[in-house]
Amino acid sequence: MKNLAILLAVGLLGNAACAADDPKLNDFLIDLSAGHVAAFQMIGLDKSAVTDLQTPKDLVAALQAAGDSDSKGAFGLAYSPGRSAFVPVSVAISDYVDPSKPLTRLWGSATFSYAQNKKSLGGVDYSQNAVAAHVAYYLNSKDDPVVAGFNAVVLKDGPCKAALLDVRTGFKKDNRTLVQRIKDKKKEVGGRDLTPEERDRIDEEMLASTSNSSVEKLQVCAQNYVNAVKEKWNASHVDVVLGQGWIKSPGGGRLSLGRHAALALSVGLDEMPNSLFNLTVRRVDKELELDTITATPAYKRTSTAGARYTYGYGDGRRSYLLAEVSNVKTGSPTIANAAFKRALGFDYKLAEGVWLELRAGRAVTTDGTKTESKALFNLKFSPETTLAKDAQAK
Amino acid sequence: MKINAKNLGSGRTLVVEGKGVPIAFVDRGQTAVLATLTIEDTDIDHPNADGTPVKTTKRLDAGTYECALTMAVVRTDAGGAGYDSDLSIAGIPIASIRGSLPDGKKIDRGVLSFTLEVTEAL
Repeated sequence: MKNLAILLAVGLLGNAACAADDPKLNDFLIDLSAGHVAAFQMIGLDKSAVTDLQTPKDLVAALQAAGDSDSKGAFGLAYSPGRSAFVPVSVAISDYVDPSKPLTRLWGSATFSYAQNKKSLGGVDYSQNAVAAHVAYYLNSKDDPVVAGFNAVVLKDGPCKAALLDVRTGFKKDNRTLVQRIKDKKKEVGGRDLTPEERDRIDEEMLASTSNSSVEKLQVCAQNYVNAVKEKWNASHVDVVLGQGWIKSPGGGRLSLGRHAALALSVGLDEMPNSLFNLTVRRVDKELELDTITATPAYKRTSTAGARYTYGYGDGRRSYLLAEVSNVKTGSPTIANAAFKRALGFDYKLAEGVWLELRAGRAVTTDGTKTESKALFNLKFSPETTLAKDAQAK
Repeated sequence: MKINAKNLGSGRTLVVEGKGVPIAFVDRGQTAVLATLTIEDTDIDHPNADGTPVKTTKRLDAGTYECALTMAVVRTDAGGAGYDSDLSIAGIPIASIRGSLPDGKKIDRGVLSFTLEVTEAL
């Protein structure tokens, strides 16, 4: 406990010392995520205004919302055609999980989005809209939460095999009871065929007299398994993002808010279960500098490439180490370029919910003119470390 | 959840020729579907132990068999909500479920009884 108190003090002092230079821990590492992954993020629309299209009914509701005067035309749509109920673009779950059909799984993991809203600048309302496409593909299908969920429900030797066995046993028992009830009823009516109404009544009584509890337990087990798979910090996956946003003044022309393209690769190897490798290439161009919108519009361009190695070890992964390099250069003072050119990081769990975080390396100065050495301690009160999350392409 | 019967004659009876009777389940939806077909005292579970759809041929002597079908849909938050499954016997679709689990509903279940009449093969 004494050690913990000392470390707390060191951490707080370190944090305070660095606070004078106003660095933020999250700015110390390059963002290796794919970046904007949905149209609503590109224009700053609240996620609650986005409708996830699953059925034609959802589309009608979304279009009604777009015409609602209260919403001022702000709405968003996210559409994953493979996971929707729109035939023929939807993907059957049995095809999605089929290892011999990787392209089907690729299509099933694609999401297209559209968003629009209004932004007030200098008392003028500007219309904004954006479109984006995002594909997130797990290189090992077992890491894919959709596959994991299906396997947990149906595989005889899967993670929920005991719950599945209970369901199967219950179904067989119920079916035999139903068969017997039909036979009894036929005897009762002198052996004639039962009418559809008589059949329906017996079926409904059978359903009402039996419980869903075994199926519910299976669902809970499968959901827990899906949650565990989602928590895996070094699952191998690739994210591809393409997006474009626009802004338009009343009576004015349309200006580009930015064109986004990103490829983010995360690889965890079976032979190296404690490791994760990240490689991200991201480009944003034709990104309007909003303070120039009323004068001569100026645009900026950002190209980012970064690679990172992360190592997690210890009981329950108490510690994470990382090393990363990026292509940030002097001479372009943008937020993205304020990140490290080279960096080392270390996160250590001092106690449950308390993490000591350290970042050190060589970074471009915020004015973009030169490089400098930077280091930062931080004490984080959280069940999770920042590094494990940063390691994943979000 | 209602299992819809179709292509069944009066008394909800399907007449097929024996002795080998093809039985197949097809899933087109985005949600996992479990089914058990009971033909008198024989049970057929769908999907197979490895998760693949059931497509089998059952040897049945000529006679009348009372049958029961239980189907359930089970959804996690990782998959879609739509379900669309058929059971075919002797190539004839005789039972189907089609729809979408509403928000917040994770499972549903239905049962259907019918009679299978197997005649001597010509």
